Amino acid sequence: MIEVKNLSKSYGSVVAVSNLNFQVTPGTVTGFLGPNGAGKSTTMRMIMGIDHPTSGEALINGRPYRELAQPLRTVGALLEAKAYHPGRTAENHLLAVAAANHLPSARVKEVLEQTGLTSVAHRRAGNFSLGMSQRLGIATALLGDPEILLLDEPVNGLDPEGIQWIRSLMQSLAERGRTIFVSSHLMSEMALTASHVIVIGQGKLIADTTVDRFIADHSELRTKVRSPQIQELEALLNARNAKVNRTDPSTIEVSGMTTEQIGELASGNAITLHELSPMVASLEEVFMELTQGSVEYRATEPVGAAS
Amino acid sequence: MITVLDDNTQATPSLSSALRSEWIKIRSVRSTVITLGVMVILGIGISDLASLAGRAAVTRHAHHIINPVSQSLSGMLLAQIVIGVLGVLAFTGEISSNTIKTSVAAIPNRTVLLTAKLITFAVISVVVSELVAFACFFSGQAIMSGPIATASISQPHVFGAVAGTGLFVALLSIFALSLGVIIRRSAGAISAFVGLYLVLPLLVAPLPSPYSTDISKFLPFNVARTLDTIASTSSSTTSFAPLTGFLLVALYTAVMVGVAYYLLNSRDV
Ligand SMILES: Nc1ncnc2c1ncn2[C@@H]1O[C@H](COP(=O)(O)OP(=O)(O)O)[C@@H](O)[C@H]1O
Ligand SMILES: [Mg+2]
Repeated sequence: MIEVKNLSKSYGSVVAVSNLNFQVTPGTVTGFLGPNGAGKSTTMRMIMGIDHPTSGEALINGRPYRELAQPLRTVGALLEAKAYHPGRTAENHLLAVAAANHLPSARVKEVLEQTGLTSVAHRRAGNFSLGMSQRLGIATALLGDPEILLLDEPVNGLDPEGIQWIRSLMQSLAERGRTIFVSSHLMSEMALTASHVIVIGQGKLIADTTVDRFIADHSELRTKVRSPQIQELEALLNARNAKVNRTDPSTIEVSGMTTEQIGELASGNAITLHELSPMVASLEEVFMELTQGSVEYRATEPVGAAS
Repeated sequence: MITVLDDNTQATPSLSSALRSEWIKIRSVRSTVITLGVMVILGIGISDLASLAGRAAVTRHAHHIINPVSQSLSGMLLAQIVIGVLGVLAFTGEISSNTIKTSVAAIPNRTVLLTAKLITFAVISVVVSELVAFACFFSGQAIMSGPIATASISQPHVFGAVAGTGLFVALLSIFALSLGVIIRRSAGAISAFVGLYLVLPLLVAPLPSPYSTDISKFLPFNVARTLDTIASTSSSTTSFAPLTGFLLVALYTAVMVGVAYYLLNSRDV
């Protein structure tokens, strides 16, 4: 269980994280979503005791990270694409980490196997591709067989097979009651891996809900309409303040009215329809809208700040 | 098969496990081992060349006087720079490669982490520095014997001069490691170390008479010069007695180590 309470972090005048509050609970994959620069990595570094909060706190099972008796048994983290000395072999890197927490060196062999790095275990890690580096980072995180896994953009640089592998790894660990907290700047990625999502923008909490709810709450229903009398219909819709977007000479996309309302409006005015179909907003669209929201928020901030 | 990990929830990671980890780290990077090799070869090589040159000078001019102890330790200056750079890199290398984040995640108590790093590096540094100092001394005396009245390790103050020189080199390498913790960047910390050790004496030397020597004798470079000669064992107007000078530099190092602990604990990594 991870608890973040009133957590804030500023780097000089840059506010990276602003009064965040959320909990990450066991047994599910919790996504941590936000555009680049939203403050995801900063939050994760504070949870790990690597960056000091400006105010507030982050707790692991009720205690700050630095007070954990066996940190790597409790939390495994992937924070950077590369967090090892380039001159060290993968195996020696893992042996050094294992020794620091008194973990048996047999675990090193196991995580190398688990992450598919056995064949390159004796190669200097400095020559690793980004994908192999990510695997070594994940191997490091898994070393203590931790109850909590914290992964910062783990799919970056992974090939499709690697992405598939990390998704099923996270899901199977969650099914076994582990706490999985994984960040991404891609909504589509979250939808495939996470069941719960914590969304931040500009360091502030935007949403803390299930992925399904999040999509339902933030998608605006649109209806695609095709008609030989499209101009007539468009005029009627405009008169009722619906938002109309012409996509081709005979097709429009309408929002601000339900599909039923549009159908009734058309039949009431004897307009022939060739198509009337509701459209579900894609995940990226939902997310882009929120991202735009947080950008707009920043633009209007000085006005609000004056009050 | 997954190795079952026992739940020993007694204490936070101990110094002994941190030491084991640091030992694996330092010996598993080939460049560390190579750099130590370079230090040994350069230190002994330069020293032996200086001993050969000393022998030649005395053979040509019978009245030429050299100090066989300091002559045989000439290469220690370069050895000092090499191990100083290694000390800096022992920490800045972790910063630049982001390994420090993995290290702090494994050992969140940064005081324990830095203590393990300092002890591991200090042990290696003392062993290699003393090895180089004694190898320089013995090979140098062998090279110079004959035309020159060479020194014996059992003569008064000779053992102290050789062992003290080795220990001083190790001491300054700890100073350099602390500089690495404080400055965090390899290039900046190496420049600062070379600047403080080699460049500062050059800047102080041209100052007007009393100031020049008054300041000079406080500089590690000049303290080192009092150690490898056995000419004086007491202080003078231009230098401290060897032991006083050594303790002075030990004090500088202690202050730097203290600042390093403070900054590592208070800053983000
Ligand atoms: N060490 C740092 N020093 C200064 N600014 C930083 C530092 N780390 C992050 N930031 C700033 O904080 C904000 C959040 O960054 P980050 O946490 O990396 O976001 P994300 O991981 O969501 O992309 C950004 O504006 C970034 O420039
Ligand atoms: Mg990030």
